[in-house]
Amino acid sequence: MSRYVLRRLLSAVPVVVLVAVIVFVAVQLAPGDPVLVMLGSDARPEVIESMRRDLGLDRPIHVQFLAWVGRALTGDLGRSLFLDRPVTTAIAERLEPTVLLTFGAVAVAIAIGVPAGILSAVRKGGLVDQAFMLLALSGVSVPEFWLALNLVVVFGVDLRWFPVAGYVPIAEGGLLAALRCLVMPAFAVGFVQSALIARMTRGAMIEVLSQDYVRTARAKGVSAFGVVAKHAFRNVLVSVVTVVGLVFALALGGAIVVETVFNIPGIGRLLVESVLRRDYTLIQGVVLYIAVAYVLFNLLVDVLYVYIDPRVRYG
Amino acid sequence: MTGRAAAVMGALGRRPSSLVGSVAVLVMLVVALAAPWLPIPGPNDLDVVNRLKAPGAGHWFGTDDLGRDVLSRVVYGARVSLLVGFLVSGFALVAGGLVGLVGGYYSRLDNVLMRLMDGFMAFPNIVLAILLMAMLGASVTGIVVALGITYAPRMARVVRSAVLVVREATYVESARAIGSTDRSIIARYVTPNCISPIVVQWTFIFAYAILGEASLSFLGIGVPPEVPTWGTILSEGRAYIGRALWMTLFPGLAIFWTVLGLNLLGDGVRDSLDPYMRKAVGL
Repeated sequence: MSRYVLRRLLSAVPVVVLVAVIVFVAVQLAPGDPVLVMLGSDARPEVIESMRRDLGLDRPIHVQFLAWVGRALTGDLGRSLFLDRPVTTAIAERLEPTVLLTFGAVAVAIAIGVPAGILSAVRKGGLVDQAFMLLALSGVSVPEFWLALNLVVVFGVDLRWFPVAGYVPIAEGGLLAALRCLVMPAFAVGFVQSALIARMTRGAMIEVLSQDYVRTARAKGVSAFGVVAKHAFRNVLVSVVTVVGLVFALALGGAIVVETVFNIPGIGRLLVESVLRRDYTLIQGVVLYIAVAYVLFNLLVDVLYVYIDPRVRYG
Repeated sequence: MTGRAAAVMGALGRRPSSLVGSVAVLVMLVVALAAPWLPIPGPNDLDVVNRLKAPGAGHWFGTDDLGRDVLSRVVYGARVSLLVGFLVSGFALVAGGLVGLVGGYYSRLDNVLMRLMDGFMAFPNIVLAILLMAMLGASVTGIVVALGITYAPRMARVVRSAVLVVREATYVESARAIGSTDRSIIARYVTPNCISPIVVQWTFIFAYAILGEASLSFLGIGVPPEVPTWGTILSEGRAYIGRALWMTLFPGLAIFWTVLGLNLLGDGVRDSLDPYMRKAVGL
């Protein structure tokens, strides 16, 4: 068991290294000289040269990479030019709404997707099943930000149930005020992702319901509800956990786009602003942060999986 | 027509949902191609008197803040959005397909190539696409390359696993025994037998690419704003959401229509080619 976890931990190391290489190389290939961007094109050559030396840009590329990774490991992702503060500080300031929104969206996706998938499986081939599966397919075909825009019109502008835009940090208005700002964005992102969970749950439930132990439970006289709730659900849950990592990534991606619709000052806005301003240090830092967070989350899901499913533990 | 291709065509005919899907995609494609001959104003024709006009006679989808016809913009937007989808899925097909083919066939290269793919897949899609857009700059070419690189690893994985199965087949073994070269085995036996998973994946990547383009352009880092695509039209309409819902409603519906069509098509082909899925789905 601990050997499995250790092995899984070690397998994440090369992925993280590769992620760092991809981010570093991508930014190196970007057009424009970072020093000229900072100083302006009319700067004196000796000033440019001295700044290049100060930033270590005159050193070979692999030395620059190792220096960058070394600093990143100590939590130093460089300094954002336009925000005039360390990248890590900028990320920390913008983290709260994005984390709440992403986990909120995953919660919405599970809350809609799991019951819909189970109902579909139980009524396999029936009207409920076909309606839910058509809805699920529609879910994966809708851009989240468009759904979000329509929610704004109905629940923000017409009904005035939720704020149209903006975010109130927990420190200022408390958790409830913060969550109220995130209800519509989390629903928009979560609804789209629930489709994946619904389809996965349905497939797994249909498979589980055809197993011998379910037949035995039925033969014993366990009620239809009891079979699903007590016997089948646990095994379905295992399959659902395997897609939670993917749903998390999709929800994070959705959050990044939807933050723009609602003017939420999160990591997504930070990333988009850094691209629009060509602030490469910030782009590099934010993308590395998101990718590493995602790798670690997947690691957590895999470890969790071992706890839920004894077959992995002893297999 | 090869046996597999016939199976794909036959599958489309047998399944009503995939038929509906292909008709939906085809209709959008025909409308996009026929745009210059349709009785609609140009996508950039200004009609200052009729700014922000609600849908009605003369302007079926209404007009935008500059008095441009929204129907015309959605139709012309389809040309760019579908082209981007087509080129992205083509890029992913060629790049990902090659990586998958080489990785699956030559086991010595497999580990290196697949770890590289893992590296790309460790990013949430939109984040990788945004990073690449920052590097390539906002343009149609940029978006095709950025989304192509983002989705290529998916294709690579699918092709690789198909090749791994085909590689062990007896007919490949016999081809090797009679002295066929690797190149001819790959071209004549391996590739044709991997077509069906490739077709399915290609359809899905087409759909993702349309959604991806829309998201990036909506964020202002995709196609330049002057090029009408469904994403840029949505982005422009956002400021008028309370006053002119039609500016965002119709391009969104166009995306939904097309992506749903592609998903129905992809699902249908997959289910009918895969007997296991057919059983599990129970349709």
